Amino acid sequence: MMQTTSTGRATRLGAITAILRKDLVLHSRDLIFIFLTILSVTTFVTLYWVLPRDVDETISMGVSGNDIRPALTQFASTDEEGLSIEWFDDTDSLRAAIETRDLEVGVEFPDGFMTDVMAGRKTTVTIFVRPNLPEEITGAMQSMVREIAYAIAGYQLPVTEPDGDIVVLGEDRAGDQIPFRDRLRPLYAFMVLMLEAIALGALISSEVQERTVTAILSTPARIGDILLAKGALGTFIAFSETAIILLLIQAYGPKPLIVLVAVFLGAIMVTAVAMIAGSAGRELISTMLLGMLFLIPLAIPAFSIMFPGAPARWVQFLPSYGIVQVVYGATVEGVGWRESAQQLLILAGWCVVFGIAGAFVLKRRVETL
Amino acid sequence: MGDSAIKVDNVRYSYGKTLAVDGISFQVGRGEILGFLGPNGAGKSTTIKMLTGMLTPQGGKVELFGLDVSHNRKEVQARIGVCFEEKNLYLNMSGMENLIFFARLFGMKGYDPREALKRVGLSERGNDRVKRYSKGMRQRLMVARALVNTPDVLFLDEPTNGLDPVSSRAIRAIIQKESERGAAVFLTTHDMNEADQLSDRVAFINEGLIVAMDTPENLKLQHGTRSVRVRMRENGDVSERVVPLDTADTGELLKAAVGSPGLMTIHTEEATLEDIFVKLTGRGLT
Repeated sequence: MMQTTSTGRATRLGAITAILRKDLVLHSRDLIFIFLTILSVTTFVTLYWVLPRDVDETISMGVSGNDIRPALTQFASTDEEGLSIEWFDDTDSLRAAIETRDLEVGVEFPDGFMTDVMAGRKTTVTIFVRPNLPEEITGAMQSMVREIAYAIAGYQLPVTEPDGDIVVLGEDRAGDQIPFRDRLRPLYAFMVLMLEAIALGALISSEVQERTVTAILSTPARIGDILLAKGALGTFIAFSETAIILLLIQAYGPKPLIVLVAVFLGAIMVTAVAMIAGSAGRELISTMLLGMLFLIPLAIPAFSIMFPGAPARWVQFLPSYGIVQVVYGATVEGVGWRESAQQLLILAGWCVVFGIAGAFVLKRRVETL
Repeated sequence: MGDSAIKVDNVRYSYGKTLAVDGISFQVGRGEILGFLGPNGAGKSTTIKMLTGMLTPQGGKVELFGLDVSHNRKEVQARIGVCFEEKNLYLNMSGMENLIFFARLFGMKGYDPREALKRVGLSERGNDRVKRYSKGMRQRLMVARALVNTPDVLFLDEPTNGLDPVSSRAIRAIIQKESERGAAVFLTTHDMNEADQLSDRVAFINEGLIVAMDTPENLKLQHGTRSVRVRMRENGDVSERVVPLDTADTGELLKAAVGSPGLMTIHTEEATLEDIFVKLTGRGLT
């Protein structure tokens, strides 16, 4: 007489929950990634709070030439915003201040400059600049000197200017530039997503390499249960950690839900990458290398946003561009759902593509064990 | 042999153009231990994968407890236990945690692993991470894991491979107990003595085909040569003589040997399972 089994009724939800709990335990015991996660979160948060919160838009300019002082003081106080003038008695002290990097630019007006200009005589003004000063600022200094000379001589500039000499399309950020630390936010978010993708990849890789996945498949659990459990765990961990770091670096701005949706989609994307890398990787190093092969191109948009101006066209075609653009837009520029909808839809489309690819690769790998 | 627990009918499987299993058929009764023997690449693993529902046969049919495995995988897998050759345990989890995890996969809520750990002699180490276990301890945990759901069919792939004699003996005792409980045991092993001792029947598989299948005794009778080896000292020299047991003058020869004052030892000789396998296939088991 055969003894009946003591097996309960195995359900798919039960199997998925069991795998999830097991993976969570294993993930929490992965000391390397716990260390890396703590290190990266601490570093990013510290960096954020250490970097300046404002952008200093004032150009500090040194001037030598006593006879021009009254005219230039009046000119600077009325016409030039963001210009700070420091006076020097002689050229040597002016040069020294620039060389020691106290000043960005210096202008040496020769003795008799006022008299020569008013008499219409040609005179030479020397401009000193720091080696790394942008070319456009050097050019602006030359223009300013010419303008000063015109003003002193009593001439009008031979152009007709409109009322507003610069037409700003969009929000005028003059005097309210985005600090570098805020530009780094999408990069921090993406770095945490990357780290979690590699951690999950390593977990999947060890499951495949040590053939524990085969043992699971000899029970009533199905391969779909494994895929769902891994996908849910990866997305949950990547999403929650990124959400926490964004909170710590004040990245939610006025539209936190948009940011969270973008991060959630990003978490799905990197989880799929983890499935691909974990399936193909032989051990931790090869899994990391394979993960990087995908993640480095995906990180490019996060780097590109650090610099002013629109990213290159090809960058906008990268699958992760939507994450960066939406997080940046909602955080810094306060863009809403309507403006973000297109990017979020494209991002969701990419998530579907990556998700199918990740599930397919992992399924194939497990089936061929 | 009782009712059939495993019924395999003309099953075949190929990996691309490589034929792994070429139309094999056999049955295993409840409570029976079947030793499934063959060299590497003979088709053992593919057969186990098909029997356990991890591969779908490309031809033929596999039934466990009367259920077609291809169409009832979940039901079948709920009633089997598999002990793999590779020690596929979670090294960063304890022995207890490993067993509880697998019990959950079988839908067993509130499973207490202590009895299972005690059975395989791991009571004291149940809370230790598996990465700190010796090879023998890991193998014993593998067996415990295969028994978590009190299976009706137990698949054991090289369960004592590389183990010390004490661990091997403990595992063999468990296999015997499971058979007595009524579980059918499908055992693959390279250890011919183990197969001989444990198996009710033995199947030889070679190049995807079952070349012989019977009880070890019958196989030896059918394919082996029975003889007696007599060792004697005559005039200071030691000599050996092999006396066949199936000739007309066997009785006379043995009588003379036993009566000889120089008789030192007398041993019966029978073919080993390995000898029979070599004879049938022209190749060794390893």
